[in-house]
Amino acid sequence: MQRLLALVLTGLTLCAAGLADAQVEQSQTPMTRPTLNFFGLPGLIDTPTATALSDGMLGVTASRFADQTRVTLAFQVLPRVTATFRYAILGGGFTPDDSPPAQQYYYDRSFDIHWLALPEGGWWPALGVGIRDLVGTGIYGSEYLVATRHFGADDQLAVTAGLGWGRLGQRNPLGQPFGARPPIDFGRGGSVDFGQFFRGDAAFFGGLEWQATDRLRLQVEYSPDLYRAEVADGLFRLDSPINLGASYRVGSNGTLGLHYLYGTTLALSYNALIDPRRPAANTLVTAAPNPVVPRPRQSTAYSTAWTAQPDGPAILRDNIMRLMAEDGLEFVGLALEADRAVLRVRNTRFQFESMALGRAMRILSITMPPSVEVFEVVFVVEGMDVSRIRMTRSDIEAQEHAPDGAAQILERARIEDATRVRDPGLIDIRAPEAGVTWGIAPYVETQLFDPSAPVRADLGLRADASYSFGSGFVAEGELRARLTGTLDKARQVAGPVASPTAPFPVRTDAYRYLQESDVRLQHLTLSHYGRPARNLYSRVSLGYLERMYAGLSTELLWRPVDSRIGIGVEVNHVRQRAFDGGLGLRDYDITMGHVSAYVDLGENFEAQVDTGRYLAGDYGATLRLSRVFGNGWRLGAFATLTDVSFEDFGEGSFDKGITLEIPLGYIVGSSTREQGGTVLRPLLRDGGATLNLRGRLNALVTDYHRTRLHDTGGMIWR
Amino acid sequence: MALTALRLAAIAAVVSASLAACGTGRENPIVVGLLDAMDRVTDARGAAGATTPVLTAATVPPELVAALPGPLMLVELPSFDGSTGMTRVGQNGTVETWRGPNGLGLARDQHGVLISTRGFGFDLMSSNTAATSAALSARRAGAVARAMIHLDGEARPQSRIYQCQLRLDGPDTIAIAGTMVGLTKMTEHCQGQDGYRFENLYWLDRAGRAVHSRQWISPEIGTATLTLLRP
Repeated sequence: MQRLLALVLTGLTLCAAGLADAQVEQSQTPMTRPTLNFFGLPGLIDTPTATALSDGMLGVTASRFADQTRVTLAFQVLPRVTATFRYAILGGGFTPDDSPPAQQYYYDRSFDIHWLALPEGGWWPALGVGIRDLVGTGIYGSEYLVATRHFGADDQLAVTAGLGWGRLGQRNPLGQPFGARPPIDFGRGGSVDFGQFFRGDAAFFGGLEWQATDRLRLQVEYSPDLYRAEVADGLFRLDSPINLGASYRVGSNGTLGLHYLYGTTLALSYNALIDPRRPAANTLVTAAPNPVVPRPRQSTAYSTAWTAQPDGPAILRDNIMRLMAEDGLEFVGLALEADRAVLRVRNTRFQFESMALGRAMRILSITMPPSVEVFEVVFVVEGMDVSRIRMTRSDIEAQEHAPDGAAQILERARIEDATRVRDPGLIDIRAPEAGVTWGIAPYVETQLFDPSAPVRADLGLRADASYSFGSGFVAEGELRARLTGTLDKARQVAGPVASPTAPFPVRTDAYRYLQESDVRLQHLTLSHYGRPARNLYSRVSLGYLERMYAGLSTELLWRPVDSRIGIGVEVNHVRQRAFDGGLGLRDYDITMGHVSAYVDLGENFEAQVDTGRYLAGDYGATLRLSRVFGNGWRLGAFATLTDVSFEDFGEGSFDKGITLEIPLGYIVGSSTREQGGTVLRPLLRDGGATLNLRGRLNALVTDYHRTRLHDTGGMIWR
Repeated sequence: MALTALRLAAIAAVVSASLAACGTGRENPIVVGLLDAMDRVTDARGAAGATTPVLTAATVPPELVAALPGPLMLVELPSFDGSTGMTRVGQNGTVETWRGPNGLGLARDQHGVLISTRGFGFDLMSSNTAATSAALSARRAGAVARAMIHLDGEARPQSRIYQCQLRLDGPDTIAIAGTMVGLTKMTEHCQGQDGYRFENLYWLDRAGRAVHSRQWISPEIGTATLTLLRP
């Protein structure tokens, strides 16, 4: 999470530098690239249109008018489904109802979903359906049916008409086609209030959009939203239902908009589209690899006399280690016989795993005596031998420059569990297993879209060290010293739940850790990673596991190297840590854990279901769905339901959120396995809470399994 | 990643930058980001106020060529506003691999037709240029097809077929390292299925090898001019 800010800042800088202009421009019309409205969904200004972004695109928007700021993140989850997360800041002592304001600004977080039910084609218009504020407090609650048709040789003109409910059904309602709308239940928010959707007054909305020039678009719309609460609090005045807008495309992916709203108010907006599939920087500029060195052709068998050469092993090891250091790969070991070599590699550099594989194989072709025909690379992660990839040297020599050499070499390779076959025993060279790594670096820790402030951040220094004892044992620790920041201003917004059956404050106390520790032990653990049997991986961690909990964590994962399914079991016994970040403990302890099913759904979607006991002792299940891009981008959503009732959970009703991971290499254009990520939650509360463990097995090992190696296969000769 | 002029010392050195903040641990994203940004700024400044002229095939000093051992090639990259020297580092069948001091590399066949690039960013991953290569070595005009493979943003290979017309332009004299060399010029006009067009120029010696050529790499990188200073 602390890396997000760095990523965002770097990302913005790079965008500003106009790097996106390196991208080949594609034609952009209101159809192929719709305008994003103030809600962050395809639309005009305040109203929607029946359009969609290109599949997989992200849209970031910001808009401001009349002391109201909205920041949104939209994602085209599926070709026809757009989802949006919105954070709104309303000033002027706004409250959604008659209650007096609790603070100067009102912060609202909400999710929308928009479905392009029928794309435009032939004579008929596109049809869309959307629900705004699906699980929030309902201040933007509205639903709509919308139709859009494009006209003109280049689809320059878009005509939209629709029917809206909720906020979109306020002006000149046409009636209540699906019955009355029950009153908004602000109580806890967070749950999907199906009773409200498409109920109550329905009203007409519509508008026109005209692509005036390549970069300029003009909008006019009729919006039935009366902004009742905003008007009541004196934030805003409406004289007319007509909104006017002009938007101008800046660079290849940004848009600036100027709008005149409801006959009274000027508004500014900005949006940027990000295609996770198109890197922000020039794609990887990692130095060219060492080429394959083919063997001299000869009709007789290659000599194996080298196996008896006394200094042979040392020479081979030195050559391999030198070349691997050049490529940034870590040498773990080499096992040899006359015709077979097994190279153990730790990849701490290449985000595209097959790139590490291709480079390791080329190093073998440079260093191995000609009689070695079978090359195997075993990827080692946290001391575990994960997968073993076997290729013949002849294939490597033949496919290096072949037009479809990347696909061919992987087709011919065998990817199997590293424990499946024995290693050759003639020569066995191991790098020393024991060793220290350490580092001192700055860190930025952020809290985004908190219910009491949009952004809070700390800047500090962190020192981390790890010591490998060998045989899979590792001791790791990290110390953090906060230099400056605002995280200590975090507070518990929605107060403790007064119910006697409410869960123990296992996470709502988090703010106390931020307030009461300037220097803290982030984590300090002794861990063991192992391979108890084929297809099985194990982890045991003991110590200060995370900021808030210390104890013992154990995990066992079954995941065959070529399987789309994995099953994991995690059992932990933990005790809450003292607020000051030291070694002390509090008197709350719990045994908890999960059985997890990991499913690769194909088409770049992954699912994970965890069932078990959570930190507060509640029982339940978590469902996670993620969309994973070949370049490492990962966008997901999760929800947890446990036996903690919605009332006892408090605001939000149950735990849910969205996750975002961006590989650093996407932004800086060099090879690195670092990535930035964040979890956006409406609220972190005590029901359905889990441990923030480092080194969970599934993510560690599947990077080197068949699916990922094939997904990154295009990089093998890079 | 601007390229500086060919420099003697740089030829042999393979530069690799370590980006750890301090210590032996992993790369630190903040530090990587800052260094990267600084790199871009200095590059931009360097490009604006460049004092050393970019070396071209015509302006490479013969003394410089003589001072460097082994096979040598000059690669001019208009999109980077620079040029670099490369040495031959590999030979696999008929394909030669060349590499420069700044991490750039390329592969070409025995007739000098570009097959792939590495370290440029939007690289040409691989190609099938057998028809072009055969026609060039025979100085034969006519239609040839070629396949070129690039990666999309998700690193998936995208193969495109280009239909090309080779034209024999006839004898041409060009300056290489201060010497006028008489060669035969051929031009290859290519068009992809999506309408994308590019043009390659080849100056061939008697053996049918492209001693000097301007060849297309990718839409983002554009073309490179390759001059064989010493085979």
